[in-house]
Formats: sequence, structure tokens, C-alpha cells
Amino acid sequence: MTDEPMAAGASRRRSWVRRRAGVAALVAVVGPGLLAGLSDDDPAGITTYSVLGARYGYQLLWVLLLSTVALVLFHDLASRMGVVTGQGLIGLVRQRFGVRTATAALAVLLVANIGTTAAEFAGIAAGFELFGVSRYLSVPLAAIGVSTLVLRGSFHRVEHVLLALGSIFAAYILAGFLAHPDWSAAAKGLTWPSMPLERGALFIAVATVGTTLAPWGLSFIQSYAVDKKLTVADLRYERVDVVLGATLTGVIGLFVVVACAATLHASNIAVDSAADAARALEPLAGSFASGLFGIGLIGAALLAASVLPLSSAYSICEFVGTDDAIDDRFREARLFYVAYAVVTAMGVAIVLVPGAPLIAILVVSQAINAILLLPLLALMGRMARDPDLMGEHRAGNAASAVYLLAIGFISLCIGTLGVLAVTT
Amino acid sequence: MDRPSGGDAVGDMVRLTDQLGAKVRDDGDRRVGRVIDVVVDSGGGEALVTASIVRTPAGPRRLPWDTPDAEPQPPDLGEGELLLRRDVLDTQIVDVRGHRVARVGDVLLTERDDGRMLVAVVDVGLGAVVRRLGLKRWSAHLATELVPWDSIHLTSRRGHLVQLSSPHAALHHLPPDELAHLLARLSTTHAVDVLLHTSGDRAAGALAAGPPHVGQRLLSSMDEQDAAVVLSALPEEHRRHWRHRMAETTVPRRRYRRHRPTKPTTGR
Repeated sequence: MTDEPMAAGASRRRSWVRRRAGVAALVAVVGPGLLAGLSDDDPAGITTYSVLGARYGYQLLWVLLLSTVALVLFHDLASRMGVVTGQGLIGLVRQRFGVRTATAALAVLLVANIGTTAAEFAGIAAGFELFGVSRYLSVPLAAIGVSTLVLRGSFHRVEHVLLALGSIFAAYILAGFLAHPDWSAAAKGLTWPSMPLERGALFIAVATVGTTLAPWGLSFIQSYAVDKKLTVADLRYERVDVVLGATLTGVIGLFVVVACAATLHASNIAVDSAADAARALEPLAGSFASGLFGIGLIGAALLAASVLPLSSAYSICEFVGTDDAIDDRFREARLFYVAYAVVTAMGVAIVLVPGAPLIAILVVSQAINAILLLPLLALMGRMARDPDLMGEHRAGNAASAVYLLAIGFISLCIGTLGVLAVTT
Repeated sequence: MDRPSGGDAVGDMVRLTDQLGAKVRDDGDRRVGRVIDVVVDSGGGEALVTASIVRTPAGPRRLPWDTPDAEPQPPDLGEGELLLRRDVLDTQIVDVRGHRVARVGDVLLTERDDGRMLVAVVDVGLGAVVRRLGLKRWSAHLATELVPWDSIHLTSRRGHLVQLSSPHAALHHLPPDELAHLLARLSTTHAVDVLLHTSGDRAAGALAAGPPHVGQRLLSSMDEQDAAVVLSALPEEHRRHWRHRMAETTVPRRRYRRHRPTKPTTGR
């Protein structure tokens, strides 16, 4: 045997070993991007996408595409800041901008998070009610279930269970195919920006941006990257994780929109929520598609109901400065456990109190999320350029220009929403 | 400089947050600017206050602490110097002897016998935060939690690098079990920095004293040569154990970029 085939064989083996090692490293790193991304497809998100598809068909799919691009940009920035500085978002805000700014950011974040947690439990209630289960049974059991999983399980077990829960989103993809959508119209809607000149279309487009990129998602992905003790060398794998998570979020949203566009929009049926959409799908796409939509709603709500209190607990601990983490026992991380339990309990209480103004709470929490998003993105943009924090990983001029452009686009959307809210 | 009265002091100590914002005037009682940061030199063990950074119409300028009437200088920092507001206040620290992680709510300065000011302790209690929010009446009811300066490891970028370079910093004098605790609480990047600035014997002792998963994570994050130096300092039995653990890991050795040593930088 000559040297050449041996060398080629050795090269192939090395290449195979490198690929295998690369896949192993990716598997070890993935989590923050996937969980933060998939949690954005919560009941509020699914409701928005359902209404977008039911009212405007495939026409506004491009808004979802732009929102997904913004999600990739800012989730990537948040995870990078966490890895480089070793600190979560609220902790970093306190270090860079002082205690007053951080207190204000934390207070608004917590109010929004409690309202959004209530929205997630309302989604669980609506999802189970589709199958005839009372909310007074489903919501407390779901709260106990997710709290036990997150607070009693080990880091890896929690992550694996939550990611497995995320696979329930495949139900939406299946429901989308069962609805037999017009794929050429969907492709046109995705790539050809157009919008009916009416208030409702603008409102739902803005809501799509707001529901896809949420403040709690940003704080969660940064804190989780810190808790996972990722290093700068992991950043390229973490970027894959972020792009994968955001893309899946966009793809799931796309299938929700096309399912509703192919059925409800084509039959001129209006819906106001994801649960309505699930019910309305039954005669048009069959009980299987309707059931899948309901299961997807429950899975989405359970995942977000696990992540939201986690995001709140991380933020409180970061503000105080403790390094409490999922793997810590109660006596080592009292603040973390208490914060998680209190946020969950308040979310449950809001949903279960008879006569509670649920719709008002949901609308207000979404509005606070939208209002908080802009200053939070502006603070992130400033910190990304700060050499004292980010060192050699600080954002350059080109990256800063892209962030500024994205912040400008989101400001325009949220400003328009504010004007609409005031004038209608 | 218009220094605040002792009414805001803790015992004989002065709070950094009371110094920030103080007006600075020159010999002719003309206003120079306001204090935006305080410079300390921690290279010699103690953190001696050397200068203040003042915001002037011409930008930030450095004034010697003891002679504030001197000609303002550019706000450059020397080796071993830190900015208390930027690098210490509101940053996360590891209390290496108290075995906990906390965030600095205030920095307390005290006067040495020779009249020079130095950092004595940092306050990590909730009272310091509440006080800075303007709720002084409430803060009086909250506990003050003081951590001595020589017991803390800073996690801010410059603070961490200065402490790595200073032979007097706490991290260079910890017994193996306390060093192991510090390594477990720091981010992987910071912890590997500490290991690389520690002698092989001490690093090996800390790895042996700490949880195995921490050692495995840190060794996987070092390049092979650095990991070999640490492993070679271990007793034979421990070395075999660690090599076995390293061989078991499916995650490839990560490329790790060393932090550069500190060099003079510009303050804000």
C-alpha cells in the first residue's frame, strides 16, 4: 500500500472525529436559544398568529419573517453578553447603569412577567377546556407539575424535559399540512411585503413583532447561558442554538398562520383566540387537526409557564447579586426558589380568581412587555459596544448599525401601536 | 472639593456613593466639575485612593486625591489601578472567605494613620441599595453586610485582571478548599484565568478539593499544555483519575484564549 491512500484514510478518520466532536459540543451547548425561542410561541403568540392567518390569509407572512430576523439578532446578542461577561441581563444593567435604572427595569419586568405568566396559565386552562377538563383542576396541577420539574429536577433533566415539551409544537406543523394550504400564496406572502391599508392589519402586524420578541425571553436566554457556564469558545455553537431556536419559532408561527389562512380565512370565519381557532378548525380540517391545535396550545403554555417564573427568579437573583441556579438546593438558593414560587402562584391566582378581569390583565401585561422592550433593547445596544464589559467581543460599527436599524423598526411598530391604542 | 459631612458615614468610614457627584472647585473657587469616579491603586495589597475622576467641560479629567487643586490630567489608569464606580460598585464579587457571591451596594473608605484614604470594606446588604434609591429612612432598618476588601474577588473585567496580576490579592493566598470554592462560583472563563495564574501545586490541590464536575469543566476548557501542567502536579493516583475522566468526556477540548495582562487604560 502506498502512503497516499493511507494518508487519505487518516484524513477521513480525522475529519469524522472532528465532525463527531463538533456534534457532541453542539449537543452540550444547545438549550438557551431553543428554549427561549420556543417559549416565544406561547398562547399569546399562537393567538396572534391565528388571528393574523384567519383575518389576512397569507398576505402578512413577511412580518413574521422580519420578526424572526429580529429575534435571531437580539437573542444572539443576549447570549453573547451572558457568555462574555458571566452575568445576566438585569445584573449587567445594574453594573453598567447603576441601581436606579436596574430597579426600574426589574420592577417593570416583574409586573410584565406576572401578567404574562397568568396569560400562560390562561392558555393551559383554555387548552384543557377544549378537552372538557375544568380550569380549577388543570391550572393547579400544571403549576405543581412545572414547579416540581424545574425546582426539583437536575439541570440536564429539566432542560431535556422542556425541550421534549417543545416537540409538541410539531402538532402545529402537522395541523398546517392537514389544512392543505396554498403553498405558492404562502411563499408570495413571505417574500413580497404588502399590507391592506387598514387599522386592523397594522395592529396585528405590530402585535406579531411584539409577541415574537419579548423582554422575558431576552433576560432568560442571557441568564440561562450564564447558568450553563458556557465559555467564549462555545459561542459558535451557541449561535447555532440561537438561530435554530428562532428559526423553529418562525416556522411554527408560519404553520399556525397557514393552517388558519387555508381554512378560517378561506371560509371567512373570524377568531379572537387560539382556542377559538382550534374549535373552528374542526369542521374544516377535521377533528384530528383541531385536536392537534389544542395539544399544541397546552404544550406551548406549559413550556412558557416553566420559563417565565425561571426568567423572573434569575432576574431577581442577578439584581441582588447571588449566583443561585437551577441545580442548587433550597437552602443554597432560597431567593431563587421563593421568587419562582411567588411568580407562579400569582399567575395561577389571577387565572383562578372568579371574576378577575383576565382580558384586561393580559392586554396590560402585553402592553408593558412592548413598552419595556424598547428601553431594554437600547440598554443592550449600549452595553454591546462597551469595551469595559465586552472587551474584544464588543459590537463593531457594522453590528451596531444593524442593531440600531432593528431597534428603529421595532420602535416604529410599537409607536404605531401606541398611537392606535390612543386613537381607537 | 466639597466633601460630604460625616453624617452619611458608617462609623469613621465614608461611603463612595456620597463622594460621587461632589463638586470640585479650584483655588479661585471656580467650579472645575463633579466627581464621577474614584481611582484606587490596589497593586500593593491595600486599595489606596490615589485620585478622583472629574467631569469637566473638556471631558473627564484626573485630579490627585490629596491635592485636588493640581492641574487636571487625562484620566489614564496605571497598572494596578481600578475605578471604584466602574470596576467595583454594583459589580458581582465572590466573598472568598465568606463562601458566597454578592453584588456591591457601596464601598466604604477609611483614613489610615498617615492620613491616606483606603478602601476598608464593601457593603453588600440590601440597606445600601435602598439608601441609594433615596429611601434612607427605610434603609436604616435594613442590615449592613460588610465584606473586607482583602476577602473579595472582583468579577468586573478590569477588577478581575488587576487581581490576577497582583500578588497580594486574596486569590493568591487561599488554601485549596477556599480556592476550590472560588473556582466553583466563577464563570468558566474567569475560573480558568485563576487556575492559569496559580502554581501547579495549588491548582492541583484546588481541583482535588472541589467537586469533580467543576474540575472536569475547567480542565476541558484549558488547552492541552496548560491542563498537562496542572495534571502533572497531582499525585499519581489523582492524575490517573483525572486523565480517565478527561478521556471519558465527549465534549472536545475547547480553544481557550488567555486574558491579556492589565495595561494602562483610560478611565471614563
